[in-house]
Parts: sequence; structure tokens; C-alpha cells
Amino acid sequence: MKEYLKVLSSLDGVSGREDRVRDFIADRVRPHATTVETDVLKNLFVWKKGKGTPDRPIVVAAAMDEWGFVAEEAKDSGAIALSAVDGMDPKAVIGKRFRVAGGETRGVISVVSQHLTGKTGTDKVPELRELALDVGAKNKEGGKAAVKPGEGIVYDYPFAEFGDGFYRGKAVDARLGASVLLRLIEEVSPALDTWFVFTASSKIEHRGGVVAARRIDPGTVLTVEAAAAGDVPLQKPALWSVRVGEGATLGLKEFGSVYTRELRERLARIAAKNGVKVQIRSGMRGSGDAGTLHTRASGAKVAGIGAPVRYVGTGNPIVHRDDLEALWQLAKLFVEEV
Amino acid sequence: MFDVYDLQSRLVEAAWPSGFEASQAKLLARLAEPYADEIRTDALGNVIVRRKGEGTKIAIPAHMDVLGLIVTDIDKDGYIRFDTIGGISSLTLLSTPFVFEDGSLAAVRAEAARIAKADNIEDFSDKRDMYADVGALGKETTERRIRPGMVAKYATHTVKLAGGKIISTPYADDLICCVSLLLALENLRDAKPENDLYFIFTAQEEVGTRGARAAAYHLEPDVCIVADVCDAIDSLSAEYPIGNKIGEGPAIKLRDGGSLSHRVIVDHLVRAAEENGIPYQFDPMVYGGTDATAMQHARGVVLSSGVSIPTRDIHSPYETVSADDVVQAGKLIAAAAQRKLEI
Repeated sequence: MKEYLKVLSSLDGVSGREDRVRDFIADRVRPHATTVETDVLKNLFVWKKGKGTPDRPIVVAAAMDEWGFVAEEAKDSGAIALSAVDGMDPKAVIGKRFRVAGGETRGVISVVSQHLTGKTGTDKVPELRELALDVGAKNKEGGKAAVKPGEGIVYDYPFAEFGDGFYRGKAVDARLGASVLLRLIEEVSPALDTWFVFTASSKIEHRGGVVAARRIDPGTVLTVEAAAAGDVPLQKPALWSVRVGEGATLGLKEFGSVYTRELRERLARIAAKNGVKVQIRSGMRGSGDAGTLHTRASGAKVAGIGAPVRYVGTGNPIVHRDDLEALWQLAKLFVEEV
Repeated sequence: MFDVYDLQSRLVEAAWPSGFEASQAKLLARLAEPYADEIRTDALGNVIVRRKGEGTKIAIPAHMDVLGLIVTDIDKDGYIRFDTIGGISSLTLLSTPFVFEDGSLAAVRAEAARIAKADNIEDFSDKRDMYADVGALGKETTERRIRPGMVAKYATHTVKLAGGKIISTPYADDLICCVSLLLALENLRDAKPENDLYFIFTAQEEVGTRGARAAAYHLEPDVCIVADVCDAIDSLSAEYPIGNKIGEGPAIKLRDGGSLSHRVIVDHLVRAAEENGIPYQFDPMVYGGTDATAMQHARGVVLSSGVSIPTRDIHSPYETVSADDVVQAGKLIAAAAQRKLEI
């Protein structure tokens, strides 16, 4: 899985600007897919003929877009005003390095140094709207020359391996599911015809998912995504939700959906039968494409699987190779058996 | 003949929270079967009961899911940790008894010392500080009966008050309106409806009107007449008492938190009530959505209104309704459903 995650996480595609990711995946899957389609919102639909045909379509979905900003106008100072996608924490972006998507222009999210304010000045966390990207421009003209309004701004922390089998880097969280889907298309013959859907704009109100649901009108939906792991020193164990190293994650419910019991229990059974390590995700506040995909057309059975990731939404989310491997195994079993 | 109290008691018995409606769906399908031209269940679990007719396609939803808990974890001492399904406030949760799927009973509690010291409910705004104790003797004993993903519901029961006219029950929201629908179906048994009717026992309303949204997408109705509860505040002195009164008839919906009723449908319901001598009031619900919210714009244009049952203490373990209002709602829905509706 490492190579899949490395190559997909290195592509730049903030919500609404997924073209590079979509085109890359489309090229890779074409030799393995029955059909490859896209739509105006930049969703990618890959259909793979199976041994049988289901009553209603089966969708396995993962998001393509990553956390980041869209550039607005340069300010008088030369810093670039920013508009954030959903789910970003100002505490996690201040002082971090970002890059113009697909380019070499780099910048830092500005922060007032504690060396100027003393400790008391650091109490207040600014709103995302107040943040700007310092691209090293001396004035408004310099800023305008460096970054055009509308360009995507992504974290500038490339994929890396570190510690005891961990991966880190930008979009490791956002494209973990897409990496699994890409490998599924390349390596697995589905039991039943399957739509592999790479959604766009998942981090702007799941807009890609709404349109995808209407295009396919699925009867079964499985989402594959990062599960926020709380097993960090700041958090008490009761609130961990999932834990790195304990295997693939199986959700009960999330913000937009109550997972279908029958589907969830079937996943748990095939995992147990095949010795795939699985943990229940107890956190339910997260919000993926499951909610829109299963309700925005005629309705579908829905479940969500994932891998535990610490620091979701930051520039350095981290995931363990064993958890990723367990997720791959579980997703593969689903496509081969369900 | 269907009896309001008897039906409500049976539906409370079969109810489970949003996403876990399978047993309720089975019971409702069985009860509706003698009055249906066809019945089917869709992928989200909605039970769709059709009475065929030539005219306008009318969806009549009442949701069959209820509020409750879902087990997230058994902690090291064997206490159950949970999250809520649907809108149960911390104030309602604390010390309320619940029954789990295996029959285990437990009240929701937090550490006694914390409760004793607490000044206000905001000290318990995080449900993750609460637990349910089914007689824990350590993690293993609890795990023999309870596992993550199991659900629980209020352990209160349906009771007759005021000589049977008033019913105190958990989940009047919205099982009492499932009763209205069954009564309406019974009233329509020998009728030849002038509209094409889809009575829908919907799934997952309490978590965001999800079942109704999907049903409206695949059924493509022209009109939605939602059956849900509305706030009765007749027992309290509110500064602006715009709520409804129990015992004064079903309430014709003017709006809710997410939908504005269409005048044509409101007028249709008013005429149906007046032609048949059915008492009615108007439901001006301000807060909270209903299945009409989702149906109105799930696909094409759906004109909506509703027949609401005035209910005291909605979302609490003891909601109070008038049995007469439910009987009248059954008549009103039937009258409006068979009366020619042109849009």
C-alpha cells in the first residue's frame, strides 16, 4: 500500500481543484476498468464488471480532495488572503508551510510571534478567515504576481516514512481511501459489478457525493476513509475512538449516517473469518461522503471502513503500515465476497 | 377495529432507534397488510403502503424510528459508554431508564459525587462523561450481554390517564402518528380514493429525515401530507403561547422548522375537516423539521402540509397526547386522502 499512498498523496488537489488527482487515477485505471467516466463536479466513476450483477448498484467510494485553501486576493502587505475548505483547525495551520497546488511557490501561514507579544498575546486563536499566506512578497504587486486568486493552496509536507512503520505527509489522511480504491481496481475481480467512485468536493459539504448519488442511485454504499485516532497524550483514553496499531476501523455511525447493521456485521464476520484485525470506531462526530451517498437518491444500505490516522486535517497526518494493510485486506474481501 | 392505546403500546414495544427499525417495519407491514393494494420496503427500510388511485400522487409519511442510545464501548469496569441517536438533551438523559436490545435495564448516570457537586446541567453537556450500568461486575460480565453497536430505548411504558382519554407514553413522536396512519387505512378500507396514495412508515427521521428524503426521490410524489407531532404547551404559561392544545383535534400544519405548507394543501385539509365535522386547529411549529422538510425538495416540487398530533413534552420519556385527537387525525387523513385533490 505504501507506493499507492505515496503517489496519490503527493498529487495536489484541494476541494474543487481535483483535476490532477482525477486525471492521474483515470489514466492508471483505464486498462483495468470496464468504463471510466467523470462529471462537471470532477467526480470520477470507475465501473468494473463482476462475475454477477447486483439488483441495485454497489458503490465503493473514497474522496479525492485534500485539506487546504483556495487563494483569494493579495493584501496590501503582499500576503495572500485565503478561503479554507471544511474541517480545518486554525491551531493546526498557523506557522505551517504551504505551497501553491501544482507549483513551486511556497509560503507560511502568518502568525504573530510570541517574541513580540509575550505569552499573554497567544491566548486567542484567530479565525480561519483572518489567516493569510506569506509568500515572501514585498507588496500587493508581488503577492499578485506570486499567486493568482482561485489557485489551490496545499500543505507542503511531502510523504515520508518514519519511526516504527509509520507514514506521514500531506494528504495521507485525505487520500488513504483513494489509494485503497486504486489498488482494488488494479488487482481485484469483483464478485458483483462495482462502481468505484472517487468523489470531489467532499470537504465542501460533500457536494460531489450528492451528485454521485444521483448519477448512480446506489443500493449499497461502502466508504473507505481515514478514521481520526485520539490515542495521543492530550486525550483521555475514553475519547480515543480508535487506536493506531489495532487494525482497520469499522464505524457504527457518523455525522450523516447510521451504518446498516446487517452490512456492518457482515464486514466484521468476514474480517474475523480471514484473520483481518478490525476495531470498532466509537467516535461518531466525523462526517464523510456516506451521508450523502446513501440518502440523496433512492436510498442505500451503507457502511464505512477505514484506518486510524492521528492528526487528521493537519499537514502531517500519520498512519501505520499494518493498519493500512488490514484496511486493504478488508476492502478486498468486501469486493470479492459481498 | 384498531384501538389507539393498544396500537401505541404494541408499537412502543417493537420500536428501536433510527437505523434499527427492522422489527417495527415488520409489525407495521403486518398491521397495514389487510388495507393495502401493495406493500414494499426500500433500501433505507421505509415501509411503503400503497392504495391505488388515478389522481394526484400523495405521500403520507409518519416516521417509525425513535430516539435512543447506541453503545460505543464497554469500559474497563463494565460500564456502558454510549452516544445518542437523535436529539436527547443531557437534561433528559441523566437518570432516565433505558432498555437494551437484550432486555437489560439501566439508568443513565454520571459519577454520584459529580452530580452532587454540580450546579447546573451544563456540567454534563458532554455525554461521554455519562454511563449506563446494567449491573456491571467487570468488563467481561457486561460483554457477555452487551456489545458496541447495540441500541437502547426509553424503558418507560404506555399508560392511560384521565379515564383513558389521555395517554402518557414514550415515543408519541412519532409512533402515535403511525397509529393515525393505520386508523386512516382502516377508514379507507371500502373507499375508492380519488388520489394515488402512498402511506409511508419512514426510517431515520430523528437523525435528519433521511428515510423520507430517499422515499421522495424514488416515489416522486406530487404532494406530501406529513403525520408528526407538534408542541402542546397548554399546560404551561409561556410568554408567547403559540403551541397547540391537546384534546381539541388534530392540527393542520402551516409550517415547521424546514418547510412552509402550501396553501392549496392546507385548504384541502381544512375542507376535508369541515365537510366531515372533524375538529381541527393549526400547527405553526417553529423549531425542528419533519419528513415534509426532506420531501419538499428531495427531487421535484412537492407541495406539503400535514396532520399533526398536539403532544406535551416531546422527546421526553413521557409524552402526553389525547386519544381523541388521534382518532380524529385518522379520520382527517382518510378524508383528505380520498377527496379529489387537484394541483
